[in-house]
Amino acid sequence: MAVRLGPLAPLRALRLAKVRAVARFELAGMFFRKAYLITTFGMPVILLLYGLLISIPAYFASKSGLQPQVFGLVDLAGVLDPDLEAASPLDELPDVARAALERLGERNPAARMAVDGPVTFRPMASEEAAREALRGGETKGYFVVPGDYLASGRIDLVRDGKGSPLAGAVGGEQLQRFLRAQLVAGRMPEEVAVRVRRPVTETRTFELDDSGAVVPSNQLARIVALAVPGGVGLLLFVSLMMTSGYLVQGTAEEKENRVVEVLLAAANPDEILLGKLLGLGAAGLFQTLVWMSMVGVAAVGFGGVLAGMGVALPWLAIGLGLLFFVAGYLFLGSVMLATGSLGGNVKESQQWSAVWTILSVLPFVFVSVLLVEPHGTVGRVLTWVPWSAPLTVLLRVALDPTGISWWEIAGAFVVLLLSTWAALRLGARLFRVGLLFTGSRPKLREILRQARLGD
Amino acid sequence: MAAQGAALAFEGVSKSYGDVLAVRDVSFEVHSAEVFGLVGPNGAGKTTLLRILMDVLRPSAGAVHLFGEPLRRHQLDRVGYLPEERGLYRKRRVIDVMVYFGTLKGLDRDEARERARRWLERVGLAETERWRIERLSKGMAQKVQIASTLMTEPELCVLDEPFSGLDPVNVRLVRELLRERQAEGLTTILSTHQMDRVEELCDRVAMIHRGRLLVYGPVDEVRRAHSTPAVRLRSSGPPPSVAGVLDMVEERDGGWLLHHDGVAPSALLRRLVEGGAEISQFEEVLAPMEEVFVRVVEGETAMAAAGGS
Repeated sequence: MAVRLGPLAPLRALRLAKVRAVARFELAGMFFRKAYLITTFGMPVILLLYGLLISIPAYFASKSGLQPQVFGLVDLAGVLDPDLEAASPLDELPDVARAALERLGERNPAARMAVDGPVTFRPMASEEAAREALRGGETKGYFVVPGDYLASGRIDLVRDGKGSPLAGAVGGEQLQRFLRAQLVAGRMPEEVAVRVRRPVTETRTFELDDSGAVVPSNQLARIVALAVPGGVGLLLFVSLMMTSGYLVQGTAEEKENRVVEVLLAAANPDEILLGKLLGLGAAGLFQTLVWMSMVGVAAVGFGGVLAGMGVALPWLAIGLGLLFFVAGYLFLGSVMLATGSLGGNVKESQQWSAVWTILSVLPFVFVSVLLVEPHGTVGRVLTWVPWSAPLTVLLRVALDPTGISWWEIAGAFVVLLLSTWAALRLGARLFRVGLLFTGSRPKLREILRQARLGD
Repeated sequence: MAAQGAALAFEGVSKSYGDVLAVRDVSFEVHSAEVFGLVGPNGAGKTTLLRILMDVLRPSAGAVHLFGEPLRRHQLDRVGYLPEERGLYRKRRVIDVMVYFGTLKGLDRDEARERARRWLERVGLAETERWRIERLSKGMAQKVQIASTLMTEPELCVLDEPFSGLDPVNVRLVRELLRERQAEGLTTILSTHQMDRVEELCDRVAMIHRGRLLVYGPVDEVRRAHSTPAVRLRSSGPPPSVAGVLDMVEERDGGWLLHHDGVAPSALLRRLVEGGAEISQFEEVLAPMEEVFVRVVEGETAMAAAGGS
């Protein structure tokens, strides 16, 4: 006859020495894995190298962009003054961005940002002369301002047909500004002409605060407030996925290696499951800490810059994120371990557990919706789904802490904890059942029956 | 209720998997300080019984008593288990795996490490301490598994096919280890197909077939029960015809095989001596365990076929 011992009976029956032994062995095992070591200590280096790699083409592009581009200009309408300089875009960098770059030590940031580079328009006496200059490589192309330009607004551009289809597009942008400056020069009061050439020099943004007062908006602070927890969340998520993957792989290997029966004879499934979760969880946490400490070193460097701009790091979002991710790891680890143990080999186990991975990446699938409407239906639903709760809560709190109520956070956390408890219990049963199914793939009905009986 | 001195008792244990009854109402005891043989053909239910003992499976009915008490998880730290389907962590070092298994059985790490080294030396694998498991040969891995099981010096040790994969030298080593355990008053359950090992090492035996206990008792009694009564002797001449002897056959080596009516061998010896025989060697002839095994299994199979099951 089955004896009901209450929901906490398995907890009381746990022998911590066994849990510790399993956890220690699993943790030590992770430090034997080359993949883990490379990922943990090499990931920042890999990211740095990747950053360097993608910046090389950008560097050369910017170098070439800074080379003066010469365009021929054939003025058949006679409306332009060829002695005038081309309007420079260099002073059009937003003030906020300029200030941030200057704080970072960037000198003359406008010049660095003007990747379009200066464009020079060389007056040409005729189309033939312009064509010769293009053929001789002296110009990137030439513009023809036709005789009916004032009436039609039409401009002709002739380029070398052999080059990139994008070559010469820059010149068109520059010509717009150049023509505008030329057309208004001397034809209206100078203060109006200035505004025609550059209608808006700065857009200041304000927002309503909690009291309803209009206060200056700090866009950079908002971006940082999203980017930092977003980055932390991404690191936690990557670590969570990797650690869960190791859980599945390790368990499947134990099944393949036939070690499992020795384990089950020495410790009960709850102890093994918890030991594995804690051991590999510690490895995952260590990995995250290594990554975050590296990010932290960078944050110290940027700290002064951010503080100077009135940007405060969103500690609430980061703290909540960590809390949710720890619970999320225990939950996801349990279900992945349990389903992973049902597979006949490593590959099959990974296939079984892939279902949960798909559920866990839902916040990424809906990220465009969440960014626009963090507290909309999608955000609210994903908050209550244990698989997606950690990332969703973190994103929602980071995007707009005022839009999510405390009871929603607390409720989602309670649901996650309860789900974790249920997953641990069911996981332990499936773990035992799955590990004893060797050779043939168990049928779903049989799995459920065994899980219910717990034998 | 388990008898006094029983290290283990199965009491009416049954186990079913869905509609399949793997073990049916099995009861037997294993006494302290004995080597107990658990034998039966493949699929007989031996492994299921052992898994029930190790709390890997729960019985559908019946009870298991261990060391005189109903089976509880914590008691299993006193039980060593070498399953038939066994393995090791291929990428880990020998010493680390042994220490892990030791700590899982309740040893502290230092003690586990010390014992692991001692047992590696005992089985002749001291030099492999720092090796990764994947570097071991099959036989070496087998010895590491046996050493890992025995290093906790369990009061009851369950060994499922411990001789498989071992060469004769290592078979002898394991045999010695089992005898040492017995001399130390420790109990061993030996599950094997190798009937000569049962004859050689076991005090008592239980034979399972189709989930049922068919034979159970001291090895000699079991063999006697399944033997045609006979004695083998050497004498200076043909033995005299005495009461109880049914026939006599001279063997090729000069000895004599006497079939009798079941009289006690000691009584028969007395009669032969009184009849004038000069006997230099006298022994009871018992059916080998292998023959008992085949007879029991074939008999049960025939009965099952006749019964339509």
